[in-house]
Amino acid sequence: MEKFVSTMYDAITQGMEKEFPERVAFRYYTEETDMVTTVLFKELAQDVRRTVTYLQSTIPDAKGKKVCLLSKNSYEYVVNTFGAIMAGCVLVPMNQRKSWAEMSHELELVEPAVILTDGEDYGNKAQLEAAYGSLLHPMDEFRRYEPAAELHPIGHDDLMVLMFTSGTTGLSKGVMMSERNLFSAGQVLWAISAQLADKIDLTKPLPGHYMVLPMFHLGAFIDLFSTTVMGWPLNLGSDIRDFYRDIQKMPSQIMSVVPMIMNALHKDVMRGHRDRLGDLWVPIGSSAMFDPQVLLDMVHNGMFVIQCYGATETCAAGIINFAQDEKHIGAVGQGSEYMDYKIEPDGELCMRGDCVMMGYYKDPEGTAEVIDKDGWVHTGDLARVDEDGYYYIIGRKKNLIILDSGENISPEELEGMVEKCPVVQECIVKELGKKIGVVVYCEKEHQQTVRDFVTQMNRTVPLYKRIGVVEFSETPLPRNATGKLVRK
Amino acid sequence: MERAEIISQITAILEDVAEVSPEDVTESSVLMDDLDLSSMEILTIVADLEETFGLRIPEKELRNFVTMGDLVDYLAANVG
Repeated sequence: MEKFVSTMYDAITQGMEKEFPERVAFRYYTEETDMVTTVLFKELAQDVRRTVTYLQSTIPDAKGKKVCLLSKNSYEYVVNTFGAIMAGCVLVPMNQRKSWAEMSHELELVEPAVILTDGEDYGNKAQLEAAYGSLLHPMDEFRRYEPAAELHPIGHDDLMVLMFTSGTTGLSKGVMMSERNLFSAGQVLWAISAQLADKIDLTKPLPGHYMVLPMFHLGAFIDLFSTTVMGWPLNLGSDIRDFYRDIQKMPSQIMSVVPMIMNALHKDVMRGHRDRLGDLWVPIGSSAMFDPQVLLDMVHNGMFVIQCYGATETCAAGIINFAQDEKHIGAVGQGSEYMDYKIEPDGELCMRGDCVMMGYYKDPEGTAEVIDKDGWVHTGDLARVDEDGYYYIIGRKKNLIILDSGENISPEELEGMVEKCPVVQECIVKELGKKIGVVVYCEKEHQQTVRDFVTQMNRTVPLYKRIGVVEFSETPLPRNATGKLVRK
Repeated sequence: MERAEIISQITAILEDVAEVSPEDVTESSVLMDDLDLSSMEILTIVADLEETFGLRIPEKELRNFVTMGDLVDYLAANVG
């Protein structure tokens, strides 16, 4: 594509339907049939149009109504994503693995018109059916409908997508994004395709991009957007458990990864199992910080490593690192011409541009804490910039734990759970050796009780939120002058 | 299948995936704490167990796998 289009309408009617209708849009593997299914862009566009008919006939006055997606990655996920947008609805991709307490908070905030699910039980199906039974619909309902002749996107600056991010106070916040925000972020990230276009023989079929990060995760969602708008193929994975199988069945050169996956790939490469990774040579990292030595090892073994730094509040856009050399690989990269950057006197990195979110949903105070009156997003990350214009993240100002899985965890939320144990006098949750850890102040004879409590508690939270390290303090935990726990 | 046989299969996978020495593993070992496994390693181990025992473990069961004993209990109950 000559230029990055700026609307979803153009992406479908110009890109998918006119410019590259015969190209492969998606591949996915089905275990039951042991087959890889291939979908062309013209077929995707038809299915998007079916979804428009389906949603408009299912939701009265569909414009601006919320369509929630609660599902693992699938082709149907993609179709409903674009379909909901082209029906003029607000798309709300949600983490289907969340506990019911969190999920119900988000659903109450959103007030969905329809909830599309894959029907699997992620541990909260019974509560979901009891509370929202009449709004639940299967993901593949669109197949029964005829393609819509007309598409009805909402305005360029209206709310188009609502996604959740961990707040520092424990409850998640809804990030409001407009079409302008998302396509502007896509434009920043388009630099990745431009880099790869130089290195790939474009006369051959385009390289597959393996996508297994969940699409409620903004990094994956924006990848879906920018890759599809570009007309490049995505190989869909729905479960990281199937990674090694998928990558053999659907050879992929590019893959978006979080540090946890990068570290697993690194282990394979260093143990001489590169063959297990098939054609993969471009891991694109995002969501959390990577170990520079791991990245260097990957480069020395023939990989081209890309890192993306961004925030949910900037629709994942920010800074991209293409450097492969020892001096710069530990940076988050150089800025994009489409955004402004500054470092505040206290070291906090701020970013500005069209990709900056509209605000937090129903939370103007929260929004004002993150976006200042001049439109700068305060990232909460402390940074420095070197003489070559590379930015380095050197610490965090915000009270959030960012894990290797890319998940942001609010310590207060887990502290609240641990404090339910009656023998715990006080506790603090923080990152201990790359894991979520808790330091507990309690009587020495109660330590085993606390360990058992945490083990039990871990059975009630998603895998990524488990507390992996329990330490004890025999004295009260340190507090600062204002009485707040000292977290460092 | 015998419990001991299940345990020996799991410990072999643990050794392969995460270089955990079999003598460090007991049924009460907490996967993330005592065995120092990451969530990615736990999922890789689950995938290997599925292949070894020829079954698919439903999503919602994954939450219950906190200790080595949890894994053994599940497999003992579900492997013929």
